[in-house]
Amino acid sequence: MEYAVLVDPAKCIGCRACQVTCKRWNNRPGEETTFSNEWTNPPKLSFDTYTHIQFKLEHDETTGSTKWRFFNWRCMHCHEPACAEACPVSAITKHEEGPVVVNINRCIGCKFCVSACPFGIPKFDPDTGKVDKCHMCYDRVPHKEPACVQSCPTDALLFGTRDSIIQKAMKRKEELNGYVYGDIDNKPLGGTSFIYVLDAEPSVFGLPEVGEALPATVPVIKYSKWLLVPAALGGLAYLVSWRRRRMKEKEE
Amino acid sequence: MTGQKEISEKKYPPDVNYRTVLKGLARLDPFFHLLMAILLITGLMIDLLGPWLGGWLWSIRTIAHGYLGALFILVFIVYIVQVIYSKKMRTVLTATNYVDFLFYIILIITGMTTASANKPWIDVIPGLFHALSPIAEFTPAIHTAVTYVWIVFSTVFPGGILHGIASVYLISHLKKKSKMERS
Repeated sequence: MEYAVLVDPAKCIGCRACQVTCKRWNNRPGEETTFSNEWTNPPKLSFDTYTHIQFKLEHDETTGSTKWRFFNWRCMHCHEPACAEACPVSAITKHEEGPVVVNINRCIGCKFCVSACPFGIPKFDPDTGKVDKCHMCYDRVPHKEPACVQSCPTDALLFGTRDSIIQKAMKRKEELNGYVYGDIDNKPLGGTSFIYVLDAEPSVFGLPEVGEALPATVPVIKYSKWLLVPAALGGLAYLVSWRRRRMKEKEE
Repeated sequence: MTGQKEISEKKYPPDVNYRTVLKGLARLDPFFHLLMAILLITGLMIDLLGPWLGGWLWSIRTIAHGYLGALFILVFIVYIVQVIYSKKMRTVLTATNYVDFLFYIILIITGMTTASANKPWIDVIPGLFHALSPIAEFTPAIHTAVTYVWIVFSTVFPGGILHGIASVYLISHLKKKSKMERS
């Protein structure tokens, strides 16, 4: 059975409990924080930070009011993950339950997944030479909800079967008069296991426009090896003609 | 007899042993081609045997394809400069060589860009990463596809891989023949 998580940024209060819990569950070290106008810390996703709250302060010039937007960035766990398709060593697997997981022991650090992911999620670590990202707590799902979901105090993150999450997303969409990103309105890469219900257009949150099909670069990586067939045939033809020429020379 | 140099007569066939082979490889041209062969073989290993070998390929990808790839870039620059300055223009006078050099340049740029994603080169040359980042999305695909196109090209067209192998075979055949004649 497939599971999913509903992300509702309108309910997020930016407490970063999900960030902290994720680090504790996965035993990842803390990172150096920085001062910025947006208060976002750590400033971006990394090999050690699987989930991340982006702070954005919006100013409405007509009313003179300001509004905070908090957005939860992490792996979207696509139905047809471009990262997994691009990986030459099959180190990334899409699980039946929904999670897309990197097998760190198989990873060779080629970064093909980094380039293939339209959301820019997988992160390379120069110290270990490997790539890692959120794995949707595949070691907890489905018996327990992912650690980030469990820690969310405002239910901005909800876990359940995909069908139940889609139903909740549709209901919430009506309430907000908004958009569902990941299913219904927009199905990037065949749909995602993290479904976002938004009170503004996806571009306001920095979500990219991604088509349902895999990016064209992925099949090129996968199928270009078939060019070895004409190379082998060409090589064989060359060897045959070369041998014929040699035999002719010997006869003469 | 001023200004006249005495040129020692070269022995044919030359003595071939490990020492002479290693000495020969230290020269720029064979070193360049040796690096290129290592990069090609390791790249093919990753792409063709990756699903079976998995994590075993980590050191091959990192050291033999990554660091040696970086060294190849430096050697490539020196090689081009040497070809131009030594006036050995015959090296680049065949169409195959022209296209080969074009393939190398594409492979170098795409390889560097793929390696730059998410770090390394950024620390050393930040400007380079910013210049290359717009194409980062496409570079693994271009790198892989161009490698195979290059293999097809250099297999089918004269002056490529098979020509090289055939030349090696001919030389060894001639050596055997001359040995037999001497004995």
